Amino acid sequence: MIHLGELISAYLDGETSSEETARVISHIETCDRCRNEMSDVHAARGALRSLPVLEVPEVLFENLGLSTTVVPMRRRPVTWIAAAAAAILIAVTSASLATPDAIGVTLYDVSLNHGQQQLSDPGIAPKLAILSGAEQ
Amino acid sequence: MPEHVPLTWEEVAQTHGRKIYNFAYRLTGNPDDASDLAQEVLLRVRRGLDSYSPGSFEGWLWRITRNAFIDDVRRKKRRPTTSLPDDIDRSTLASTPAPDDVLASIRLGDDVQKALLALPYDFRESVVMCDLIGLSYDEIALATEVPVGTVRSRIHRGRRMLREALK
Repeated sequence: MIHLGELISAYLDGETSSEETARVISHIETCDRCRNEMSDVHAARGALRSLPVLEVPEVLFENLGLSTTVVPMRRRPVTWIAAAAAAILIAVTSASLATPDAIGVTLYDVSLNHGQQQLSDPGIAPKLAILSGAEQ
Repeated sequence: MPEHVPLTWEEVAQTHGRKIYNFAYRLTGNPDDASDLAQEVLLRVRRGLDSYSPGSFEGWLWRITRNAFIDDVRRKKRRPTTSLPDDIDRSTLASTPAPDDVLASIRLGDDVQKALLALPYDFRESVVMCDLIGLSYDEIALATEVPVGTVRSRIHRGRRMLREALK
């Protein structure tokens, strides 16, 4: 069996072709090793993306004779494919751990919960405020 | 979608200044080094903007940024290196009230920052460009002057190393 390797990150980032995407989805359902690797990579990716955005020291712009007005930093918005990837990962993991009492997880549920988690995450909430301000 | 190219240096600085500073900080782990590096990048942008030809502005900008960083590292090789301080300067963090949960998030961020600095440079650069700056793989390939396949590999291996370090 050929494992997914770097296709996992590319898939989470929405950087796979349609053929690669199909391969990832098909493979991940039956391969514990790749599923665990996707879970690890997803966690690392999330940790990086939750790092706080730093303010530019005013002295930097002052040294350059510039106004200190800066456009807030914008990060790439979560793409539908990355959200779907997370949903599949969670859904597959949930299925593998399912008990008779487990309630099925839908893509909509995961998206909804994921969004709520982001809004309540103290590391992310300030940035979301900046993002919405920047996009107005 | 056509890419917007800022018309003036001031606009580039105001639009991308924070990203450049954050990139520099995440690569160096030091606010003073990050500030010096960001200043150097903006000066290089000012010198180079007249000769910029239409293309990927992001690729052009981040190529300048990484080259400035690499030049800086080469210059400092003659001097003793400074590692990430145990206590990261929090004065540069976006200023918001800091309840306990926010402080907990910052402490977690310190761990991630330390793990990031322990990555080999090529991997650190690629994951920062992808996960913190939000560049596409194509833009990272342009900026780092390597094939997209190499970018894929570096991002994936970088994340796996980071995950191992954080376990």
